[in-house]
Amino acid sequence: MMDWIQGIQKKNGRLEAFDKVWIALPPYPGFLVPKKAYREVTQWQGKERRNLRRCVLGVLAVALRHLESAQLILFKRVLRCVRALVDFNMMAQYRSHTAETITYMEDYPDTIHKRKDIFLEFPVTKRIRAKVDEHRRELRHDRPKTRERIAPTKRRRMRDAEREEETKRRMKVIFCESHFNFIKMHFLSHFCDDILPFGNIPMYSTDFGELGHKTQIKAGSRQSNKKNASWQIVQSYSRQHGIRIRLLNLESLGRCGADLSANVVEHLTPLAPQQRLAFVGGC
Amino acid sequence: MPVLLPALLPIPPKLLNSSKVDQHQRQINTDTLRDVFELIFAPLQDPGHEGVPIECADGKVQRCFSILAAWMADHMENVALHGIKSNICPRCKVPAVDLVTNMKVYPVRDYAIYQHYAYENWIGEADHADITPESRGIRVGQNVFYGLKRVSPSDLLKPDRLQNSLSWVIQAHDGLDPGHSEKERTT
Repeated sequence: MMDWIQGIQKKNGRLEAFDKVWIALPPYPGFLVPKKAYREVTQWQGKERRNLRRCVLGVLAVALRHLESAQLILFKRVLRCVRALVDFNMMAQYRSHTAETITYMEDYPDTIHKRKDIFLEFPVTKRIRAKVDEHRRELRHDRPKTRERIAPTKRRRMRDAEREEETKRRMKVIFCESHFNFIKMHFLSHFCDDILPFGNIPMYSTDFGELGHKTQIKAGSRQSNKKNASWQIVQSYSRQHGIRIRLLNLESLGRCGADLSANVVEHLTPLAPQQRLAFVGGC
Repeated sequence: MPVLLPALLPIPPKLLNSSKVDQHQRQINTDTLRDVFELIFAPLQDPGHEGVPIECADGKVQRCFSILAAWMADHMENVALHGIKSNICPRCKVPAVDLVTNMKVYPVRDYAIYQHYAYENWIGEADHADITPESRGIRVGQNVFYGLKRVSPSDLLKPDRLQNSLSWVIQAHDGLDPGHSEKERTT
């Protein structure tokens, strides 16, 4: 979506304003203030994405102030579409739902689908790019080549006309070939189906798996001798997990009043030092 | 939430330019993936079918069934695991040309029918041999979840806020600013 917003802003000369508002965002508890302009960020981390989702609508609304009358209707539609998408995203984060919130979640994709046409020229695939390049090559090939001397002003005018023609042809191809027929567009319709039978959406997230890479795989890989590393990674993580479970069991037994030796209690990491001292004293 | 690491999936070698060699390598990759998943799911098969007695906190022994409830992955992982083409929904029978619509009238995909269909086709008894699962973007026999007791592969797909919802905000599509071609952009 941000690619599309950036595209439509660039077309209407609003990129600078967006970057200025983006960098001027004030601090707020729980909000990570962006240090770079939007276009300078090359890679987005999860936290930055969540921050962006929170503030993108506000930043866009501020960046689109003082519009010319010709741009007014276009950007109103842009704002409505972005608002529906951001609202859908925010609502997908809810930990509990009512019939009303589910109805909202069903309505937002409808709004997105109704207004998505304004972004039609921006979802450009590799296939369309190739087609555009092919058309440009054809156009350049078909142009008559003259060896006559031409005055610089006339040459400039001719180049401008050629460039304009190329742009027209390119936009024509893009508008003919571009579409929203991709799978992420369809997945929005499946969100609400799962809430009633299975509960809230954040429960099912690849966040946990992605986070697990750090402790489960990367740490294990570093500790291995890089020979048959997969086996070592799985083995070492299983052992660590087994020990953690054993410690939790011992801690639970200790809480229930079981007689544990001081050596064992010393290794029960989940307890704070003061608690551990009290625990040893109790035993 | 306890997170266990049962196995690491093998990483296939990169595909070469030759399509014939690639096809052979793709088949090897698919077979290997299926074998690995069979190994991973083997301990779930019997408890899923017969159930196992487990002592509960209230002191009673309950008969419990281990049933795979969800598989959280991004779309391309789902494509590999469900054995479908990338423009096919692993969950419902929406045609590839209708992904853009917001209609919810499409029935849930039943992978058992595809297996049955392939079997009928194999013994030459299919009534409509021209409408094959392959023509609908399904690669029969490549769904690693098919055959699990009490599990419907199409129900395993869950909306993922990271891949399906949050990534929408940043990038919904492999897009390019139309003002620049690839060549102009790289230069």
